[in-house]
Amino acid sequence: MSQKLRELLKLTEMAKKASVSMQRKLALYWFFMAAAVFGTLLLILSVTGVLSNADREIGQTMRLQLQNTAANISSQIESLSAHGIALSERAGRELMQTLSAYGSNVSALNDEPEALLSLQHSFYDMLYTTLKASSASGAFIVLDATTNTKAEAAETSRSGLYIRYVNLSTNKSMNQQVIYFRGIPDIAREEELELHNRWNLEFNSSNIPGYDEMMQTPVRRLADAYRWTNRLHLTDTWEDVMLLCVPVLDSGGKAAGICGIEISSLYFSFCYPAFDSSVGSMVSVLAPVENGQLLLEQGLIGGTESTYLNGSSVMHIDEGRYFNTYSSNVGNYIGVSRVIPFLSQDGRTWTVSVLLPQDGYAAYAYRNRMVWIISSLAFFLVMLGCAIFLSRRFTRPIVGSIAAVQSGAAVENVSSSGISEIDALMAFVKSTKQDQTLSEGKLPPNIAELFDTFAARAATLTEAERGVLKHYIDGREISEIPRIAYISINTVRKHNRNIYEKLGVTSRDELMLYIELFRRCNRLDELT
Amino acid sequence: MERMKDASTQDAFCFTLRCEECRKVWHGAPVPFSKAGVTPSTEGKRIIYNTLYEKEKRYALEKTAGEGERLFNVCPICGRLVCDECFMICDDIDICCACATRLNEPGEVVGGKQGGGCSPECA
Repeated sequence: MSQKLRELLKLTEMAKKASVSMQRKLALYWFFMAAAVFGTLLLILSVTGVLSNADREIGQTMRLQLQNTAANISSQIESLSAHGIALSERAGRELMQTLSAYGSNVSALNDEPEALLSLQHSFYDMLYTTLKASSASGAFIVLDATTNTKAEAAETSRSGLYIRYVNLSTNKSMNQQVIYFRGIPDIAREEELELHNRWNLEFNSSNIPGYDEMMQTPVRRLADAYRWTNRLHLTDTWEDVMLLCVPVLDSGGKAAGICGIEISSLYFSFCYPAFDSSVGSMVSVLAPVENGQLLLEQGLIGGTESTYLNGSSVMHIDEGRYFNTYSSNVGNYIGVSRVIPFLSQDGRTWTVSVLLPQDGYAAYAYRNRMVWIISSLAFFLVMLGCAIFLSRRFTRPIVGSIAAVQSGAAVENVSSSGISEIDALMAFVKSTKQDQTLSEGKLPPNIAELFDTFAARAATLTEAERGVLKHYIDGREISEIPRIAYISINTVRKHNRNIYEKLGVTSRDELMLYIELFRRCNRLDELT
Repeated sequence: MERMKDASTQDAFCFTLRCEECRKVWHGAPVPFSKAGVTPSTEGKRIIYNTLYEKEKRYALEKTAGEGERLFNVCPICGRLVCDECFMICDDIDICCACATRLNEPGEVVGGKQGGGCSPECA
């Protein structure tokens, strides 16, 4: 086992020492450099916020919330409208039975307290049933008649019944207490209802928006005739409400009064509490839109936990890609809106909106962007670090080899660089170093000594022998020299023997080799 | 070539050179005439043979002069043509024995142990 481990270690060491191609190292280096460049791009995009998908995420979350809220509100409004119409029909029938005894017109009931009390008895059951069956905070019926036409405010005082919940909650429990807000107190006594501390015997019709118009408008279908009021302040109370007003028809099909259902601001806020999300609390709003403005002062606002949204503002809407921006004097919000079918008294478009404080959004977007920036920066730094590490590791053997050569160390003694190309280059340098030295006019030490010796010997030649040697240097054959030098062949031969003896050569080939070497080294002048 | 002496016969061409120091004569190798022994049959042939004889003689002279140049030396001092026995290799310049003696220049005779180069065929 230990022997196998030693062999494995040996193999690992050999693998480490084995040269790796420069191309492979460069490819790895460039991979990290490209990744670092990509990291830089990521960092820039992160800083500019292009990569952050916070807007899209928030937009999706708000749209999802809006979808649920709009569906619930639409369903509630539709249900309340249906209850209101049903209430109107039942009240109309009751009214017609009563009018059969007094006359065809509701005005016949003026100054008829007994008849009005009788009617309100009937109406109470209807209202109580409607209030219990619907998701509303109150219900009412107003007749276009008064018990005393001689009273001061007889022109706007109208007989009717208005009951409300006093202890509001979103749960329809049996313990919810009904309070008597308007109507003849005899009924309250009989039903053991507490009178509201702002109770009145009759309604003030001037406080009901569109009352006179609805009384004068002929009605074909109740489904087309009902209207929702804007949010209005309930006189003498601290409460705001929205009223569904449905005309109550007499036998002639003319409006004899109005019945309806109330949704108070408090009840709406209970029904639609703020939705907590990772970004902050989302508030549901039912309000009209006009000229690019969300009229909160005329609509209802859901639970506003820690959003500081109040119902007295008008918000300017700036549409965006993923969500809209709603700005007002109380603060800026982001949100999304959806138009719902809603018959309002003034014919305006009503929307359901989901709003979110912009501060919460900004904090979330900042966190999201910081995550991207930190991640991109970390990625960039890691890739850059790897690239720097690789470049150093890559250049170190090259620089080391160059330094070793520059320092004069023998090429043979330079250790392996670990890069195959550099090792090949060093091997080439090693093989060509001698040739390179010759080309630079330098000779290896042993050759230089040989040359010096030969030149010293050549210096011992006589002028006549030097003359013969010149002919050899000029490339003449020995047989050519007598005719050129006007000496006999024997004289030439004798000189030859002397030249060979003095120069220490034994053949003409050896002599010519020396001459050729001196010629290549530009040292022929040392021979002549 | 002007120092060559003509020693030709009717059948062969031969030229000689004389050492101007020791007077020894060198005979070049004889070159036979191509029409040696042939009697011209006509006057025309005789003229042709004569012309051919002169032509071949010039060739023989040039050939013998080439050989002589390989055997004789020209003394650069006195300008004489001398044989190897009368020519010395000195330190600075090769000169004839007479000039070496006159100028007190030591040297080594080129043909010290060899005799003259006379051709026995021409003797």
